[in-house]
Amino acid sequence: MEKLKIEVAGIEFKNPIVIASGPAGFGDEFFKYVSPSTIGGFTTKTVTPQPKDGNPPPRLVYTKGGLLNSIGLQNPGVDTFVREVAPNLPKETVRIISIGGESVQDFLEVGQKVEEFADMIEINLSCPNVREGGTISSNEKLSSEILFACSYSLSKPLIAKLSPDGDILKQAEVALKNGIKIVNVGNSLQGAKFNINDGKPFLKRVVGGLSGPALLPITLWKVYQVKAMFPQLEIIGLGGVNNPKDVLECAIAGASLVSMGTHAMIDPEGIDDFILKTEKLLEERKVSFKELVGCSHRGGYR
Amino acid sequence: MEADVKAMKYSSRKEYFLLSFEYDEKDKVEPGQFFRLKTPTGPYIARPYSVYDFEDGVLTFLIKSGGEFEEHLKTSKKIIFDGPLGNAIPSLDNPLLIAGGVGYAPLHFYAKRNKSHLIVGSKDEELFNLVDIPPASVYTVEPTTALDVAKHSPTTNIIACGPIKMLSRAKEMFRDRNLFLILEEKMACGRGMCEGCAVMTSDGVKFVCKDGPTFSAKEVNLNWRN
Repeated sequence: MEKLKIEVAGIEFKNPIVIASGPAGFGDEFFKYVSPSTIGGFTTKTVTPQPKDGNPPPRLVYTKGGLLNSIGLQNPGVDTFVREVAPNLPKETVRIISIGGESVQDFLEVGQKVEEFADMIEINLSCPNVREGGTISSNEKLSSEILFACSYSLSKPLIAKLSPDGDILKQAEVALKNGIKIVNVGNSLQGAKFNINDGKPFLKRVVGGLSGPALLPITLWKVYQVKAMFPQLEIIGLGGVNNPKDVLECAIAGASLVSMGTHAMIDPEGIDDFILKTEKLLEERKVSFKELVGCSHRGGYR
Repeated sequence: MEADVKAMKYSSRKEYFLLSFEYDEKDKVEPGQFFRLKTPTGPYIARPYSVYDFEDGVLTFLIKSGGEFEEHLKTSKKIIFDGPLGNAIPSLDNPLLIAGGVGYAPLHFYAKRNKSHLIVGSKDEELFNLVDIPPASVYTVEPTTALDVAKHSPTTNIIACGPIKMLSRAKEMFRDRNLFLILEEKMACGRGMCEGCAVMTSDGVKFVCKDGPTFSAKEVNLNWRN
């Protein structure tokens, strides 16, 4: 597994496969099917200051080749999380705790409470901006304040989770200016679906996040653009990854880590094999994953 | 796991079909449990279906036509499946089973294994051209619904499965009985990870796949959905 190893922000990953925040919950079910020693990292669901019931059903809509979801950040709140969930996160993988909220104070409170249980912290700027609508990432001033405050106050490596529905380069620039060294690029894209029998949206809140294989080229293009403009940023590519070849493509575009959400959720038993096949692809090409990162910006394989 | 399609039998107007394949893990499938099914070509997200029957190593599912899964079955004769998932319907003393439409699937399986009384309702007669109904059961076609017939029953233990409006009405109608509801929701993982199939209960949000699909009617708040 030597060819898969990579170090990001001083943290050693045995392989670049990081389970994305959301589809695998807090891991209690997921780790019944997947050994934590297999995967590079695991990102928890986003934790907020107060418990959230999440959105009323239906929360899912099937789409051709994908899935539209509107879960609504259901989580037990930071105090219960720290007491009952965080201590049990497996230490055999890099533990990334995703934090969310509506204000600078929310992010700081959650970040400070979870920090001792995390190897890295993901700042979820795709959280809804309750006061102004949209997501927090769509408000540059609020995003800047949250990222600056977290950079100043938290000691673990921080990941800014950007939104694919806004200007990705602007968001990456804001992250970099506020002391962030790792950005998560991709995620699910906003979408909607309507019922032709009653004329209503399928999802209660109309909009949901679209995931699935078709997103991969969008993710690759965004990763490529961010790496081209800000080569000093480490990138986690997320969105549409469902095949070992996709992992190599993400790295070639510029991703140092590759995140999987929906695919890991629908086929957890297949992850061992997925990682073995990824390594085999690297061996066949006589390259390491680390050597692939951003190689399209350097003229490809050498 | 993978299996070849053993049989795919349609109703007369092709509104419904029964899909069968071999499954060799005998005695491990209980009424109320479900499987996630897809074909090698799709759909991307496997669809959850309650077991309609499991006999002699053959699993059968009752499916309403028109979905993406059926489209793929026209060209692929292989099934990729995952299950059994979810919990069994609780064992009750001689319960009344009330089914609406394809909600008949888990109750058909239950009725085959447990002493019970069965009332099945459907929008049209076509369903009854396809499914088998145990002797001494009642079946009815709209405008008379299964609940219209069931309301005259004095039975204490009741299990209902069907459209959400039917279940809401059953909850109202049988509020003083020992009523269980088999719920249906869109699912992605089928194992409680994705939190897609949420249901509000007196004990907070639970999930149809992991905690259900059968719930005590007293426990669930169906208004959260509507």
